[in-house]
Order: sequence, then C-alpha cells, then structure tokens
Amino acid sequence: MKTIGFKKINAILLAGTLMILAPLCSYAEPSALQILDRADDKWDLNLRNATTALELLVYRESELRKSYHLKLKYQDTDHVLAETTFPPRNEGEIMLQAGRRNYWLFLPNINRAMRISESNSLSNSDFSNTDLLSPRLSNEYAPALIGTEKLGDVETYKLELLAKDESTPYAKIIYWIRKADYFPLRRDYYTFSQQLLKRLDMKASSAKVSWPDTFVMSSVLERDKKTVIRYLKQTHGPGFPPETFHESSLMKR
Amino acid sequence: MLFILAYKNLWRNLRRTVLAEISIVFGVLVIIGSGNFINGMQRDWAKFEINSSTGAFQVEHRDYQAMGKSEPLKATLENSAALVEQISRIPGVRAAYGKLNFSGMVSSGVKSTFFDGRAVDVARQRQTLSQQQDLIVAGKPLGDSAGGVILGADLANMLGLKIGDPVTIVVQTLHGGLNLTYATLVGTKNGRHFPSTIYLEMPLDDAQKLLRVHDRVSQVVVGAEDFDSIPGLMKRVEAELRSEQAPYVMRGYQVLIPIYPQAIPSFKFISISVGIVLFILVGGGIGNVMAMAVLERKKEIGTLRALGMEKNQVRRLFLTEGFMIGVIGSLSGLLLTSALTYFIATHGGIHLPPPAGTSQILIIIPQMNLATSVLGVAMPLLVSVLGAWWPASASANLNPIEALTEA
Repeated sequence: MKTIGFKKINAILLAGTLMILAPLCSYAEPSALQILDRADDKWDLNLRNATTALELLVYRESELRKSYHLKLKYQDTDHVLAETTFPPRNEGEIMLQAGRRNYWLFLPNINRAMRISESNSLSNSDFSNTDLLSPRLSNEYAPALIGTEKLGDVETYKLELLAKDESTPYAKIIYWIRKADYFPLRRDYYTFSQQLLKRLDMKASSAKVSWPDTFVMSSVLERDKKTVIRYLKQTHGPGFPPETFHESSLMKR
Repeated sequence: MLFILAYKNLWRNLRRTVLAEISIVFGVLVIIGSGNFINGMQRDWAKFEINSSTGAFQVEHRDYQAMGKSEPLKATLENSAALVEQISRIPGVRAAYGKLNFSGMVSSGVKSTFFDGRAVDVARQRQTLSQQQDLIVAGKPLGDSAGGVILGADLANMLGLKIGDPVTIVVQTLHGGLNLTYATLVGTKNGRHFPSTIYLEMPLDDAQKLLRVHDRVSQVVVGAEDFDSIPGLMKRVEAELRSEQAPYVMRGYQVLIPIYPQAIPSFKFISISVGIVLFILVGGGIGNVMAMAVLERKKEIGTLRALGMEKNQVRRLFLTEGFMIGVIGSLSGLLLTSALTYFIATHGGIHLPPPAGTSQILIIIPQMNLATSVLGVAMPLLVSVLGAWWPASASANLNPIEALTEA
C-alpha cells in the first residue's frame, strides 16, 4: 500500500514536468523556414497595401554621388510599383513587378515599357531590382539553420539560403536574424562560383520602429562604394486597383 | 583605205596628236589607277579585319541577330566543339574557332563599368586569325592558361588598370543567376573601328564555366585558305551544314566588318565621280583637237568632196581618226598603269601610319581589276569617238566650193 502511493506520486510529478516543459521545448526549436518567414514578415507584412516614399543614395569613393526619391506602391511580394519622383531628369520612370519574376521598366521620355531582368541594377546603384522589390526570400530559396552567432553584441540565427533553381539571381545568401525578435540584420549574397558579391545591412531608424527601414548595400566590385535606401513616409490603404500592377497601364494615354 | 588615210593624218600634226594622246593616257591612268588603289585598299582592309578579328565568315544560330542584343546566350550553338571540328575539316578552311558573346560588369576594385565581352578558344583562334596580335597595344595575347583577360585599351585606361592587375567580372548566367570571377589583365587591344571602350576578351573555357553554358558558342569563326575563294567556301560550308538540319546561318566578312557595308558604296561613288570628271575633260580635249583638225583641213576636205567623196565617208574619216587616237591612248595608258601598279605592289605597297593609340599599320597594295580596266579603256575610247563626232559632222557638211574658196 505504501509502495503504490509512492509510485503514484512519481507518475504525477513526471506528467506535470512534461506538461510544463513540452511547450517550452517546441518554442525553442523553430525551423529554418519559420525563422526566415518571421524575418521576411517584418519587411513584407509591414509594406502590404502601403504607399511608401523612400530615398536612394548612391555613394562612390565615400562621397554621395546620386540621390533619387521613389514612391513605392506595395501590394505583396509579387506586385510592386516604384516610381521615381526625383531628380527631374528621371522623374516618371517606373519599375514594375507585375507578378513573380515579371519585371518592367517604363521610360516616360520615349513612352515605352520594356521587360527587364530581376538582377539588373536599380538606377545604377548597388541594389538590383529584386533586392528592392522582392523581400520575401522563401519563395526562391531553401533555408537551413547553420547555427547561432553573435553579430556585434547581438545574438543571431545564421541561415544559409540556397537557390531553388539557377534562374534565381543569387546562388546563396547567408542571412543573420536577431534571435530576440526575428529582426533581419544582414544578408551576404553569393554568386554561383561561391564568391561574395554584395552585403546588405538592415536597421531600424529608431527604437520605435520594429521593422527595417534603412538598408545599406555594399558591393565587392568597388571599394568605398555603397547605396543606402531609407524609407521616409508610409501610408496604409485598403489596397490598389488591380490594373496598377499591369504592364499595359504603364504607357501614357 | 580609210584606216590608212586616217593613220597618216595622225602624223601630219604630230604635236597635236601627242597632246591628245597625253590627255587620254592621263585619263586612263587616273581612272584605272584610282580604281586599282581603291580596290587594293578595300581588299587589304578586308584582309586585315578578316585575319585580326572577324574571320572570313561566321556561322551562328539563325535567331542570334534577333535575340543577340537582349539575350545573347539564348540563341547559341550547342555541341560547339563537334561543330568547330566538322567545319575545320572542310577543304578550303584554314582553321575555325568558337566565340561566345556576353556582357556584364568589370571592376578594378575601385571603379566598375559595363563591358561587351568575347570569349575565344585561344589555341584555335591563333590558327584562324593570323594577325589578331596586331591589335595588341600593351601586354600580350591570351595564353593557353586560364585566368587571363584582355581589355580594350580605353576601357583599361578608364578603370585605371595596368598589365598584371586583377579584375573582377560579374555576369548574368544563361539561366538568369549572377556569377563572378577574378582574372588578371594580360593585354590591351585597340584598332580602327575597334570597340576599345567596352571590349573584354577571355578564354572560352573560363567564360563557359562563368556563364554556365557548357559546350555552347555564339559563333564559329572560320578562316579561309584563300581570300578570293571565300564566296565559294561559304557555299560549301552552308551546303554541308544544311544537310544537318540545324539552325545555322552564315555571315560573310562584308557584313561583319564594322562600317564595311557603308564604305563600299562610298568607294564606288568616288570611282564613278572620277570617271565622270575625266569623261568630260578627255572628251573636251579630243573634241578640241578634232575641231582644230577640221578647221585646218578645210581645203583638203573641199578637194576630197570635189573629187566625189561622200559626206558619210568624210565623217567616217574623222571618226576613224578619233577612234585611233583613243585606241593608242587607252592602250598606252593601260600599259603604263599596269606597270605602275605592278611596281608599287612588288615594292611593298603604300604604308599608312596607324591611328593614335593603335599599332595597326594599313598597307595598301594596289590591285588590278578587270571591270575597272575595261571601264578605264572603254571610257576614254568612247569619249574620243564622241569628241570627234561633232567636228566630223561639221566637216561632212562643208560645201566643197565654199571650203575651197575659204581655204
């Protein structure tokens, strides 16, 4: 009788411990895809159905050489329109993503829209079209968690993203994501020859902002060269008319 | 009888006949000589371009011209090594090599810019293009080892690169991804009409790996054993490849050499202009000589007419004299021009200095051409007869009594 009572108590204690630890264990092991999606959400979800003003600053030999202002209409990761509003020489130029891997450039001076590659440079900067217009990486890349690492003083997840096919601009991306809140911090872009091509650093302009609004891209092609994108103003709306993201709507009437 | 009389008349005023002959010889010399010079210049220009960059002709995918500018890798020739081998075996082909066209960004580490690239099979290119090293202005041609790159002299200058400096090359692969490689600058190229500000050349194997296009080329460049047999050789190669049911088209050096198609009509225009000017000058000279002869020989014409010579016979006499002057002058001019052309051709031709920043000397060896020679002889001959026509008609219409009275 005494023995049976002791076993019961042990069983109850074990069951209780498992019940307490089970959720903790599942919380501690997010998959690489979950980490990637949560990081991309910071960028993607915040922009959905928003009109955003941004500035693009091109630095050469550590000096500001060119400055552009763009108005970004973002519906989702596959439907984005970016119109240049400054300088006057480039005013009215529009870049459009009209679906997955369907990129267009409209030049108002010749009233012509032409198809462009996602890896083409954006306004002769260090960003390519896909860097700006397609933030959600899980569509194109298969992620793997290769460890945790300190980036400065910040504890991060380190992901290795491998391109799902050869038409993807970068063969591999190494992605550092802040462990605490899945804030994206850095991406290193590699080519098919496994050479580092570009590095993107992301940060929030203030403590109040919980998503990346400042992006600094540097390239191995030129020392002392970088491009900075800053999101300046954002207004959310109910959504855009479907024709906004169709290439036929680019031409002047 | 008429010919003998006309021939004797030529010797009656030798000074006038000689002056007329000199003007015809000069006309023939200029027409045929300038034609030979232009013909030689055309041939030597074409030969230089063929042996230094374009080859005699190139074989490419039939869609390349339509797609080449926007997506040069999409319309390429597959199984290129076997194709090059097949073309190389055709009689009359000196050698052939594969060439891959692509574009991208090239960087010195400090500056970067767009380039228009050519990847070549170095060993086979050396056999096909005997003068390709003439475009090198610094360093050396691509070697057999990997990792070398040649840039246009102006492009290297713009990037601040010297021979031996490392360069970074970024391209978009066949499937759309980005790729990067590091290389070493081994030489720079320049020349007439050479795209020196955007030119980049690298070994074919390196480029195929970089662009991820295994065994593909944009064109097969073909070298011919003999310049004059190129049109026939093109037909033979085309016939052989057509039987393969493959999507090949041929492009001859005439369309491959920059501005060549535009320059040839200009050359022809110059030749025709020279011919027309000489036609007028020589015709005027002959007409003048014959008119003077009629005036001087009025008494003789009156006597001949009084003795019963028909108007037609008098006209034919003067026309025959004009024809004889034309024949003698034209043939003498042809002989003189041929001798002069032979002399210049056998003494190394005419050397034109290279343009600034290039080492490309153009040697012009004048070349006899049947069409130009026939034209150069026929034109002064025709002009001589036409020039004699009006004075001959005037002489035939003279009244014998008036002619004898005036004389």
